Amino acid sequence: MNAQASHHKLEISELRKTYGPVTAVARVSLDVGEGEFVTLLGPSGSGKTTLLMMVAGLTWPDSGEVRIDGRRCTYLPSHKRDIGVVFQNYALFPHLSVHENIAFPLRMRRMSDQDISRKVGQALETVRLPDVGARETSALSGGQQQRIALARCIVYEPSIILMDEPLGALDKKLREEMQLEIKHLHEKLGITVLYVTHDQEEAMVMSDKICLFNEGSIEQVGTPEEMYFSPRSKFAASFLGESNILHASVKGTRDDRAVLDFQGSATVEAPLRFDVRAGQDVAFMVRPESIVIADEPESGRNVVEGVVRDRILTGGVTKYFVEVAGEVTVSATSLTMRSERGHRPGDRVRLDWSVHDTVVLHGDGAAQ
Amino acid sequence: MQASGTSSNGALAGSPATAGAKPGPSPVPLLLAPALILLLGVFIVPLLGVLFESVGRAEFTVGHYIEVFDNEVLMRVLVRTIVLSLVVTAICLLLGYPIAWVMLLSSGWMQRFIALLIVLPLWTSLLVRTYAWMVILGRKGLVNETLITLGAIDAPLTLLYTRFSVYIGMVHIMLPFMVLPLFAVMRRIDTSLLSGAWSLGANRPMAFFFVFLPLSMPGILAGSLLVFILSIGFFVTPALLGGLGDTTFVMLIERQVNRLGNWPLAAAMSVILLVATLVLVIVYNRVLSSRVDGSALSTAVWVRLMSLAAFGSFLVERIVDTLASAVPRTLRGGPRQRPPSTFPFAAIVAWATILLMIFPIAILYPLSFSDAPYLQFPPAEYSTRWYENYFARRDWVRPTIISFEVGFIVMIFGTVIGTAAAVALARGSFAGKKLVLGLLLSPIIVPTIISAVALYYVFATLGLVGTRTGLVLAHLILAVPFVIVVVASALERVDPALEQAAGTLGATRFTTFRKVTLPLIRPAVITAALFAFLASFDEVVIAIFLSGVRIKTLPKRMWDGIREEIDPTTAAVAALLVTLTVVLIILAEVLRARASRRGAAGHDQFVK
Repeated sequence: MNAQASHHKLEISELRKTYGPVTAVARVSLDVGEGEFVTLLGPSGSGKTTLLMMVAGLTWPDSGEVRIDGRRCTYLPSHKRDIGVVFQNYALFPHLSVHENIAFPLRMRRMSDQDISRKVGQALETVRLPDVGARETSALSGGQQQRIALARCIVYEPSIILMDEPLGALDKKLREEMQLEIKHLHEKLGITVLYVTHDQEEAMVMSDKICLFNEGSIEQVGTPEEMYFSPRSKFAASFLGESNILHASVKGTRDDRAVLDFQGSATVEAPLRFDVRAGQDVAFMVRPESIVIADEPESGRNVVEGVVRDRILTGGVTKYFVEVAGEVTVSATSLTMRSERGHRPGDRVRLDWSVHDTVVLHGDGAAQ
Repeated sequence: MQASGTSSNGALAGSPATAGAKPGPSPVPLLLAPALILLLGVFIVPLLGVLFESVGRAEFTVGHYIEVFDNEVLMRVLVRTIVLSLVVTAICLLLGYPIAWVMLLSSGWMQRFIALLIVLPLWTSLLVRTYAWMVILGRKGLVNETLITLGAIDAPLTLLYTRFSVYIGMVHIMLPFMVLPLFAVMRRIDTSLLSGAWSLGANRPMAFFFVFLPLSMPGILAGSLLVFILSIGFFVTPALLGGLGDTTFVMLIERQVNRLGNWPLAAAMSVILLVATLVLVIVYNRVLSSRVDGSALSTAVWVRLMSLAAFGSFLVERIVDTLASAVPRTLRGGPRQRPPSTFPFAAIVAWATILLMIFPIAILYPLSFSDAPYLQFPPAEYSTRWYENYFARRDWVRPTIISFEVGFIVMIFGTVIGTAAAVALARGSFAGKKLVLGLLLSPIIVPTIISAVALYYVFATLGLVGTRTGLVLAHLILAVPFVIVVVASALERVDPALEQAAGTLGATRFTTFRKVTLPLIRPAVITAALFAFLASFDEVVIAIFLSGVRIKTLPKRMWDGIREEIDPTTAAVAALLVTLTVVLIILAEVLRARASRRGAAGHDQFVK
């Protein structure tokens, strides 16, 4: 058990937390490897922050276990866990200068003054703010405060850094900058990061591994590519990126493909990801960018006919909303081109997409 | 309330916003005028009178000041008063900090409940609370009787009329003034900073000493200064609970006026005390307005200091860890498998103190139903004879009626005048607003005995001593500041956009006040009216100076009773007073809760 455990930096097994009748986290297990950047992604109230707080030792679980570096620390107080936390509001101490804020964890570890000023200096260099040491934290901008919080965390080289929506308070542009900066810092320092966010784009940009939360449980774990191209469920498909979720019934299987009857108006094929039986209702997903509006459909692709209802120019891409099979609206996107002849609302069009871009989803196939 | 609307009528309606014309005259002067005139006539002029008296009415002299500073007895008493106040402040801080802390950690109704327990004693007559301690600490008091019954002592201990009883009585009365500013500051501290400190490697004591304590420093300073200022000028409790060796500076002032008639000396002493108080108040305001000075507190010196403080707890934790590691691993099952429980030390201190604050008030009830002709606890037999005695005796009933009369008039005029001033201060913009606010609030911070001496000095020449008019005017000075504070803070919570919206919808300023503002601040106005009533009804120091033989208030009658009689009629009266206060406070709380529910709903509609 222990030998096996040592492979992972952080092991969470069967962790559970309830608040009265509400189950915040239901028997969640998750492993994080050395140097990995793992993101807990989910809507607010899905339990991701509660899980993070239990790993941080700031909330006690009802049952289950947390191991850091193979050491069991489920109920160990925060300060004995060798973790670092970057809080959503940064939790910078307003009564201490920037320098003293970063020095705080080192003072708690009884480091000598000499070492402290050297390490604080290095940490400030790392976050590219070498000259703000003497300032008050309140004199810094949001982005700078964010970096100081980061510096305060990396300065004592904790085993794992936990981040709770650290970019939530920043505006969009700054947020995107900091995403890359944190990502680079992670690569440069080789630190292990457990990151919480509700922003799927942020999760995609930064993570080695995304752990999608829904109602206190893990919906799916995987790399950003896996999450995007093969979502397990309707929830996963709709939470990450834009998607068309359509309903069909299974006609049968051929080779390693499922053959689906789409609303009686078309036959759609999809790679067989799990066993289905004829007559079963299933849901499948197609990304809008996989759909091509074509005059001459290529053979070997799924084809559906429909009527254009709306065409929206959003900038780099143009969105079409096409009504198919009576009343289902499918969205398709294509790159905007000046010379595009363009399909107008009311035009009859054919939509086609690759069989491989058709993802049959787990769970109830019935329309909700 | 009706009255307050009417009073503002002239002011607000007098400025119609005629289209195209210049904006009408500002209503601010009219709204402030009553409060300022009252302040000037009944507070500032009398104080100036005292000032003139102290430097010689006919010819300027500093002789009376020299007399004060040369008098060895006076100086010794002054030093003693300062030491006494410092000790009271320190005790209040040690007991009040855990209470504020526990209040902070409690949530919802529990927090409100503790707040109520803290505020309740604040609004029960301080005379009653002091009297309760006399009953508890006396030779035949609760403590001595209990100890003798238990066989712990043979002869009663001398607890009353000692420095000890003065400390107990004063701490009891001053504690809320420590807890409330402390809590106000603590509540603004972001508790995620503590989580931050823990995650960065600080254990609980270290996180407290390095993060929470320095951040709560403004509260500590504010609470301590407030308690110190109030203690220095505190008259009733030391006078009743102290012995001959516990005379304070204000008691000497009273003696100079009432027994020796040495006006110039009393005036000089009053001015000295007044100046000292004003200096402290200025420091207090500085403390409250300045942000935590990070650079001054956070340097290595502070870190070293706090390290030392945290070191003790750190050692203890190490020892506990070492001991725990000696237990076989199988028994422990690895690192702690249960959530650690927090040590309830703070909670124990806090609740013990809160109980101690409520206890003396509660004890009055069984005592007042005693059948014995002297104070006895627990009473051997119960009867209502002392209540009957109270209602039967003219010398008790008449002061009661006068107190109610004076209280009601003060309530009505105080609410109207104070609300008008609060509206001007909260909504108007004019130069010197801070100064005006400071002046209007100054009567609550100036030691009451100085106001009393000054008023006595002026009213005596006007024939107002021993009249209802005199008492009403004097009490108004104390009541109006409470009304201003309560109503102005409520006005600050009302979004001015609502009033602007009413304006754009066609309402005049007066209609806006009547239809929008007043309904929103109604609970505060009711609370303010209640405070105004209690400020008068409980007041004793001014009553001691301004009462006459025929016209005296109930607190003045009790003051006489406590000093001259021992029968439990006073206990019965005290119990009735407490009941009245509790009922009024609960009434205000219920109205507030109901209104805030409604107000909150209305507010949410605007937010969402």
